[in-house]
This record gives sequence, structure tokens and C-alpha cells, in this order.
Amino acid sequence: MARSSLSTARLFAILGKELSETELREVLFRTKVEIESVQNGQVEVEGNADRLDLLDEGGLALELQGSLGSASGLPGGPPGAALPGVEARVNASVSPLRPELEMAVVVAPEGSTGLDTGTIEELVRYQELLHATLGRVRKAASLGLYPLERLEPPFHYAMEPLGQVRFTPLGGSAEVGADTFYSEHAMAKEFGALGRKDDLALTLRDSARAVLSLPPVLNAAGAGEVRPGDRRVLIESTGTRAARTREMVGYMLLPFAARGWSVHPVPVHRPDTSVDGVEVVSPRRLPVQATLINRLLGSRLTSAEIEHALLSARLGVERASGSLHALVPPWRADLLAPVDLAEEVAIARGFASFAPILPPAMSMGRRRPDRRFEVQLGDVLLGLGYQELNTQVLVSPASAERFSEPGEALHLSNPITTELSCARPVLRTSLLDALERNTRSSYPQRFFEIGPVIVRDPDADTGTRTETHLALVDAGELAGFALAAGVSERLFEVLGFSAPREPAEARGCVPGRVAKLRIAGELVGLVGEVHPSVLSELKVQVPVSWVEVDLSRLERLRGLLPNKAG
Amino acid sequence: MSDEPSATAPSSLSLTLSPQEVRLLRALRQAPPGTAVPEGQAAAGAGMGADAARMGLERLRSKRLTVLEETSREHWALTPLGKSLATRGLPERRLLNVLAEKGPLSAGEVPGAVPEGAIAAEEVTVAIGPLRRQKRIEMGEKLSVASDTDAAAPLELEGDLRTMSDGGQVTDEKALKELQRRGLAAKEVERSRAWRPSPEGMALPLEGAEGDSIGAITPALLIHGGWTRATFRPYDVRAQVPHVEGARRHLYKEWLRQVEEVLVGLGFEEYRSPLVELEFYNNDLLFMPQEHPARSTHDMFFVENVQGHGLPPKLLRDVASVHEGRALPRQPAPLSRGWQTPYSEEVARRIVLRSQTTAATMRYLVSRPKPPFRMYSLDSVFRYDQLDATHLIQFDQCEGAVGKSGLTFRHLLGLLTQFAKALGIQEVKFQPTYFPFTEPSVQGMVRHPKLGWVEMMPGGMFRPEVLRPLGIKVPVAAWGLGIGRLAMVALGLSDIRDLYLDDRSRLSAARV
Repeated sequence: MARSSLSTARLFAILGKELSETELREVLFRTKVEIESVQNGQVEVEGNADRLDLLDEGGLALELQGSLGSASGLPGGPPGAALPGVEARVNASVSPLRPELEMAVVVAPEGSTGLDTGTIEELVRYQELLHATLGRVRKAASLGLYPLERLEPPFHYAMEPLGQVRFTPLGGSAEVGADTFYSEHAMAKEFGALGRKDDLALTLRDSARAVLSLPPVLNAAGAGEVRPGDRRVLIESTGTRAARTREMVGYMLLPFAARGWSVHPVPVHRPDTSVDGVEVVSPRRLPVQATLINRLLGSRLTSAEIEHALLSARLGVERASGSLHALVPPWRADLLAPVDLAEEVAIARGFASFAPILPPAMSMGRRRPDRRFEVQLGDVLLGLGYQELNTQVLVSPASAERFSEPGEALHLSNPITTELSCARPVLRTSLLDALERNTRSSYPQRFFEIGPVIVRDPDADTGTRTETHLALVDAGELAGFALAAGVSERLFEVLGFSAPREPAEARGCVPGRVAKLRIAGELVGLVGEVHPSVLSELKVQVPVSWVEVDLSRLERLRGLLPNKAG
Repeated sequence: MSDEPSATAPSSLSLTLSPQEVRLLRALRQAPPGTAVPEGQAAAGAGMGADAARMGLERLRSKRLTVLEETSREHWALTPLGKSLATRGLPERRLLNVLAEKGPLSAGEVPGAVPEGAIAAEEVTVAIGPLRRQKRIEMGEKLSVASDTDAAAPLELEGDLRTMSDGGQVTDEKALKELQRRGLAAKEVERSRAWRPSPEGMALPLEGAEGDSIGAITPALLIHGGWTRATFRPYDVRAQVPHVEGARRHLYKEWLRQVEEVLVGLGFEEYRSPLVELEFYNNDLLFMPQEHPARSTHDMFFVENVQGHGLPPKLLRDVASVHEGRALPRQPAPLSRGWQTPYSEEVARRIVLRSQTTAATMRYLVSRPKPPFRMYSLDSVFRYDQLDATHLIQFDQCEGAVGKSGLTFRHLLGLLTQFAKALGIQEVKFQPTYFPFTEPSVQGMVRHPKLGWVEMMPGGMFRPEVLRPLGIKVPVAAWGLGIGRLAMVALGLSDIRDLYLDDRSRLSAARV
């Protein structure tokens, strides 16, 4: 989810009318953006990651117009022609670091006074939102806005030696060398690695050699600075992903298009090829498949109704030789396939207009077979006085290695806290953690849990296996190996299994007081008595014994059970 | 019946006394009126042990028949070290005796000059100071008894130590301070407990109260028929009784089981998949772009030193195709533009803690279930989040998926509404939302009496980019509820950490 704080005055100016907070909330509930707050002339909105267009004042105004029925279809006319001489040349030197470049030009409508201070502020805010989201913090793609009227096209995108580049950073007053800029400026410290490699830096210049910017770090003062009154703006995006740079320019067209500015392509000449830039600024065609839409939505909409809904969604529609196409503007990168138009139709008509219905139930419900023992064993243990627990899979390294050898437990590479940095390989360790937290409570204490543990398994595709274990602990003066062994016998007796004990050793336990439990030769569990060194670390001052059983294995052995009736 | 406690006359109270209590009260009443009897004396008078007498007297006090008078007195007493040295002699006494007997010795020679253990090296060190201060030894190259003194004359503290050891009191403050400094004596508080009957205890008729009245019914009484000749002493039924704690199902797990019963009742079949998962199943199959921010180290947990392997080759190829926007084999055109970034098999093989139960649905769909199907998976997921009252890094999701020919978005809305109603939620409304793997996507909001509308039921219809590589030919509706939040509402909890409560007393006391 991303957030924007928008000016209600500018929003309503584009919308063409004012709405109360209640009206705004009602209309926007039907869309993919919701209002967090409205105060001091600002509306705070939160939107889904796919609809970055709705986090711009212009984009939100278009959506509201569509919902209220005051306007429909694509804003403005089709893209204009490329402006004479306005084009860009990409030098092959940029390839290793940041090869992609796309541009577009926007021109204010006749009679307009061009940009104003408020709009410039909004453009910068939206640009930074796009940097943070679609641009992956400028790594995949970044944006720049430039005053075309004060520049000399064509533009040159290249890598240059640091010593040859001098410019005045935006917001500064003195010209500096690129080497100084890269070693001292705050923006260079944050994004420098994206625009500089060794003693070379990316530059964008016009034909008069004026530095527009050092992409993707910072624009230059003057040539890289749009001001109130500017009527022609060059939009540029550089990046490492071609698709993302195209989309960045596409989204940045939106605030201008919504205000009636015309959009124009900028041809880009690369070392191996040239493109006219039209694709960047033009709507894409997506076939409208009425059958697909109705089949997915469970509706019976006519072709005209679908067309109307798509226009309300601020898409264009084109009907040619019997087939219908949606025209998707460059700021709707979220629409990938014909199926996406179904959701556009559903949102435009309102989800509330699609009455919920139930499919006929054609299946038998059931729990997993290997959970059949869980309730039975739980009942037996409750009867024996064991309190059920629900503990977490992630534990501390100390807990993970309490009963297991170092290296057995999985470690996270990016834990939030060391207390939760390992996946437990046995369940009983979590019950010991619980005993540690209950030392102020009276004894005896008896706990059990049926829950997951993670064990290493090189044969499995994840290199691990999630097993369901049952573990119980006894803490109190009478706890000890004999009690635990007795409880294990009781458990298996109830299930109809016989699981003879055989001597074993286990970490964290008293030597000679651990036993393996086997059924038909297969190891199904362990029983043991906790070593006093473990107890003293946990400040538990009574003996503790435990049983741990792998329930998944028990289910596999179910076939060995004698028939109950027999 | 009235809830008001009935006034109890002293005469009827006698019936609530045990024979031991009667004997204790009698012993107290033998002392002159108003005089308290020391506890030990009362025990002896009643012919009882000290512990039993104390418990009996306390019981009588709870019945307001006795009064306890506690006094405390501070006095000096020897510490265990003091007691030991009172017997063995102060280190300075022993050193002086050695020097007197053996002649001049260096400090190091002293321990070896006497039978082992008679004086230790550290005791020699301790002893030199007081002896020099009292001018009883001289220090040259060796230690020797001061020439003008009698080694047998008493040393400081010797007399005080003996007095205290004999049970006497020392009043010399300077000596007491020195004994305390050397850890030989300390102040102790002596408490004494004495009992006297209360006015009710004095007035209570005791004749015949001992008789054959029976408290606890014992096996012997039953076996030998003694009970036939006895009367049963009534108990004070309002008296405080021991607190009983018992084993219970864990409140949250019990509630989850009820949710599962609802799902099974609605025809859903349970499916479980690993908690540790390949990114392929957790993300790629779900058509989540490999560069999606939700796949970063700030959103998911990555596992150290484990490599995934064994991805189904054809499925991997097809998933790569849809991600890159290429056509699947035998398809004339791509399903969509895809993400237009190169697909990395290395990313697909990374091992993470499952961040969504939709990974379970993917494993289920890979198994090619025969339509129509309904599956659920109620299990844990892990997200990189700060821990507080409403966020945990491990929490449970309730995943559901329905696959059937002719299934539509309206069916999805119907299923979500039905599920909410089965869980006792009457008001549901739906809002558009976004997931990379569903189209349309929906957020089901439920009405909470206190919180208002709460987002709780995200779902959608799986995209063709998800279903086609899996070979699933029917539409599939799916959702993944944050079941923990719903549990908090149902169980009246305000802290999500209580879903993992392990406090024995609170678990035992939880409401059914």
C-alpha cells in the first residue's frame, strides 16, 4: 500500500466540482483507493500498489469524474507529433551501468499560463512516489523533468570522466566538479552507486553541452529546473529495466494529461537502433472479450454496457471491423491482459451490483488423514492433566540447541530479533521455554502441544521437512524418566500400538535416562529426563521429563493397527 | 434461600471445632484471663506437635475464637563463623600460641609448624594485624611474641566471643562492632508468638464438643463402620478453599478447531504444505514479479545455507514464460504482457519461511486435483513485521480455494459471505483490492461491533497466468483470511500475542 497527501483545492479544480468528505468516501469506497483523512485542505489517500495513477491528483480526479459520470474515456486527444529536433542520443558507454532511456514532451494547452508553484510541488511529490515504488528506489528506473523552452535539443545521454563534468546541483548556487559532487553531496551518498562507476559518471546534456542532470542522482540548477510559467516540459527516465523506464514516463504524463496538456513522443537513437518514442506516449490496445468478462463475473452484460463501463473506467474504446478494443493509457501499466478488463468493468459498475450466489457443494469435506490422532491424543493428555499450549515455530538459538546438535536447526539470514532467529527442530524445547516463563506458578506443571517442527531433509525440494510432533513435559517433584515412560505407554496403548523402549542418548538429557520408542522397527518418538544443567539455566527448580512423538510417522504405521472389532 | 450470611451464635459455632481445636482452646483458657500463652506452651498443653498446634490456632483465629500477639526483639548473636571460632579460638590466639611454643617463625612457616589445619595461611594474615595493634608480637625478619608480655594473657574479643557463645549478652558497643566487622556476630530479630482466647473464645461452651464428631471421612471409618457411631461435624461452607487449576484445551487452538469444523461442514478438504518453502511455490507460481517489493528481505524471512532443488522442469519453463510475457507451448499468443523482466531460476530456488498460505494452494493445484474441488489450509505464515499488540511475525491464515467449471466472481462473493455467516458474522461488504495473482481481486470487510468495518477476507479469482501453467482448466476462486484477527474478535482479546499465551494460570482461568 502506498500513500499520498493531495490538495483538495487542486483536486476539485481538475474535477470541476467540489465534494464533501462523505461524498468523497462513498465514491472512493468503490475504487482501489481509500481515504485516510481529510483535513487542512489536504486529503490523505492510501492505494493498492497496482494503481499508482490514483495516487496523483490528476489521476484521482479522472477516476472521480468517471465514477460520477461527469466525464469518460481517455483525457485529451491522441498524442501529438514529435516536436521538430527534440530527440535524444544514447552513447554506448552507458550500457554497463544504466542502459535504458525514454523521453516524452508535454505542452500546455493554448491560453494556459503553464505551470504554477502548487502544481510543481505536486509533480515533484508524485515523481518521488514513483521513484520509491515502480522505480524500486531509483534502481530499476528514475525520472527527471526539464524546462524544454530553455534547452537546446537534441539531448545526449553518456558516461563521462568525472573530471570533465561541472554543474550546479539543483538547490545549490555554486558550480562544482562531478568528483566533488559525488564525494560530498547528500543525494550522491544515497544514490551515487547508481550513477557512477569508477571515475566515470552518467550525464544528460543538451546540444549546448549544458548539464541537465547526473542521472539518476540529481538535476542541475537551471537546465534541470522547471519553474512557474513553464509551458513545455521534457520528461526523461533512465533505468536498468526497459519496461520500467517506459512505464515511469507513462505515469509521469498523467498529471499533465489530466490538466489538458498535450503529449508528444521523443525519438531516441541508440547505438544499435532508433525508436520514434510513439509507443511510450500512446494507448495500448487490449481486446475486449465480452464472453470472457461475463463468464468471469457471472454477469450477462451487453457489449454496449461493457463499453460504457470501460469508458467510465477512463479507458478508451475502439471498435473496428466488428471487434472491440480497450485503449489503455500509458499510466495504466497494471492492465496486462484481456482478463484485467473484467475487473475494470466490475469496479465501474460497482461490486455491489454483483449479487453473491453459492455454487452447489459437490464435495465431501474432511480433515487430513494424518490428523486423525491429534484429537484423540489431546483428549487422553487432557485427561491426564496436561494443559494444551500453542507456541511459535521460531525460537532463540539457545532454545534451538537445547536438545539438538548445533547445525540441526535452520537459521534465518534476516531475523528481526535473535530471540526468533531459528526454526525449532524439536517441539519439546518450546515447552521448556514455557516452563521457564512459569517458574512463579506452583508445581506440578504439565504441558502438551501438537505442532510443527522443521527438520533438515536433503531429499526434499526445500531441503527441509515440516513434521507434526506431539510433545509433553512434566515438571514437579514426581517428574522423571519413569513418569514420562509411563505416559508414553498410556498414549500408545490408547492408540492400539506397542512401542517398546530401547536405550538412547539425547542432548540436554541425563545420560542413561533417554529411550527411543519404536514401532515395527521405525523410530516414532523419544522419552527422557532433562539434565539439571538445562534446568538450572532456565531457573526451573524441579525435575522435568518429556515425551516427543512424530505424529506423521504414526499415521504411516496405521496399517499395522489391529482391527478394533477384533 | 437468602444470600445474606446468617448470624452465627457462639453456641452453634462449637460444632465447627475439631477435637484438636477444642483442646487448644481449653489450654488457652487455663491461663489467667487476658494472659497470652506462648505458642509452644499452648502446643504442650494440648498435647500436640508445634506445626499441628500452629495450624489449629490459626484455624481458631479464622473463626475469631483466638487472638495472636506477636512480639519481636532485636539481639546480637554469633554467626556460624563466630560459633566456629568460639570453639577453635580466634586466629590471633592460635598464632600467638604457636609463636609462644615454637619460637620465632616467618608468616609462611607458621602453617607448616603445626598439625595440618590448626591454622591456615590466610588465618595467619588475618591474625597479624590485631596482634600487632595489641602489641603482643614483634615483627622483624620473623614473627615473635613481644618480649614484655605474657602469651597466655587474654586477647581483645576473646572474652566477648566466649560470653556470647555461652548465651550471655555483650554490651560493649565497640566490641560488638568489631565482631560484626569480622563477620563473627550479627543482629538478629527474635519473634515470639503467644495466643489468648478472644471474648467469643472465652464464652464458647466446650463441653461435649470433642465427642465422636467426624471431620474428614477416612477409609478406616468406612471399612470398620466407625461412621455408624459418629456424628459428622458440619463445615463452614463459606470458608476459603484451595484454588483448583486444571488442564484445558488452548483457547485459540480450540477456536481454530471450530473454524475447521465449519469448513469441513461446507465441503472443504484439508491440505497442508511445508512451512519452509521455495520462492517458486510461495511467489513465482502466484505470478508475483520477482522484483516485487513484497519479496524483499524487509518482507520475508530467508533461510541460511539451504538450497532448493527439484523444481518440475516443464512447470518452471511455463512459469518463466508467463513472467516474461512469452507464449506457452502450443499457444498462439502470450496470456499477457507479463512483467517484462528476465525470470531467474536462482530466485525461484531461494528458500523462505512461507509468507502466505496461498503457497499451500499452489502445492495443492500442482497435484492436479480433479474438479470440482474445495480445499482449505489453516496454517502458519511468517512476515517481517514489528512485534506489538496487533502484529506478530508468525500468524495463521485460513486459505480456501474452490475450483469448478462455470465458477464466477459472484460465486466467490457468495462463498465469502457464507463463510463469514458460518463464523457468526452477519454484515459483509466488498471492496476492490489488488493481488498479482487474482483478477478480479476483492477485500471482504466485516462489521465489528466495536471497531466498525474491518478488512478481513481478501480473495479473488486466480489469473490465467497462474492457472494455465498448472494445467488447471476450471476457474478457481481463492481467499486467505487473517484468522488470528478474527479469533481476537471472537475471543475478546485485545493483544494478538495472547493467541500464543503460555501463562498457566491465565490459560486455566480462560472463559469456556
